[in-house]
Amino acid sequence: MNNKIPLKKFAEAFSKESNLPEAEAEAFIRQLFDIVASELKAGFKVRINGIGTFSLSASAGEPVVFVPDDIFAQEINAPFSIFQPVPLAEGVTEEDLARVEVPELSQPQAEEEPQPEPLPELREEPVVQEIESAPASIPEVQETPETDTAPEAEPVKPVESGDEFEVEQPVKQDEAPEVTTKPEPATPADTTVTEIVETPAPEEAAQPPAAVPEWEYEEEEYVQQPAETKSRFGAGFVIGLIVGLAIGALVLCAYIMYYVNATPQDNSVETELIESHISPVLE
Amino acid sequence: MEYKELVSRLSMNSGLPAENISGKIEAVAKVLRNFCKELDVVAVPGFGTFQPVKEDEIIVTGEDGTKTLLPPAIEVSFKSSVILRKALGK
Repeated sequence: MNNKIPLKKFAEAFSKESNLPEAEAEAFIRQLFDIVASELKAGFKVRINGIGTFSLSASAGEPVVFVPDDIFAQEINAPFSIFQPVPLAEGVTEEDLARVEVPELSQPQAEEEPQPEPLPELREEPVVQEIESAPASIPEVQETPETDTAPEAEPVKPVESGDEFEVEQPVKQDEAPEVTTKPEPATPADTTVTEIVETPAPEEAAQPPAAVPEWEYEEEEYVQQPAETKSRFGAGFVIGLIVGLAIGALVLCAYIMYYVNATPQDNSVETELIESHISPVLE
Repeated sequence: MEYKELVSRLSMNSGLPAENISGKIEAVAKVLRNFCKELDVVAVPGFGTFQPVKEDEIIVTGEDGTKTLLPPAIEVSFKSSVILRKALGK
């Protein structure tokens, strides 16, 4: 860069390009430009394909005007071919452009580098995170149907039906290509129960069939727990209420039996005893 | 001087067949473009120097007042040698 290339080096490069000996290459270059010089002396302009046109100038400064050929100009400006002339708005100065160019040049460099690498990671990470965090997210699913009934009851309904587990298993094994397109919506944090059930599908297609029962078993645990807890809670509440009422009834009955009915008998016995002891004394 | 005349005359001076001259001229042009692409100055003794100059982007104002931002570019200027200037009488 910015080196001065003498004729010897020029001829050396030309000889490699044309498979000529260096001496012949140097002689050829000299003859070529000697002809151009002689034509210029005669007052003609000379055009060399791939280089440009040489002509005489009327000005006193440079006697020869060189106009590069289109191919010549395009090839040496190939690094700048991505740029195009841009019309600017009024009031825009070079200082304004200098301020804007710094962040514009820094942003694409930062964006281009990490793009190829994280793409495969993003496809794999969300699936692993969801599978690992599936048991941890169970309480979230338990809370959602209690608080909001209308919007979240729709995704929960298909999961609660126990028949769907048996239906989903053949679908996941047979329809592997459909499952690979689905991991894109897995990123949002507010995943409903249906989304969580879909996420293990891509790994099922990738993993050996031996791992399939494990995922299904986890899904069953995950899905059945809310239904069991609801039924257990209701049944326990009812049983506790019945047991409490029964205990209360028993306590009430015992109270009535021992205190209400027994006191008059005891009093009658006591009065009889007292009267039996007192009456002889009084007499 | 047309290109065909240049080829025929060069063929006569070098002794090479005219069919090969176009390929040789194209090779010379390719080597010259490669050097200029690297911003190297190519000197041809007795003729002149090809000097590539990189110009940064500039704002050009048109006749109607509109401003246009031109991208950077490499321009090649030719500076004739002293021998050529003397031969041309300048």
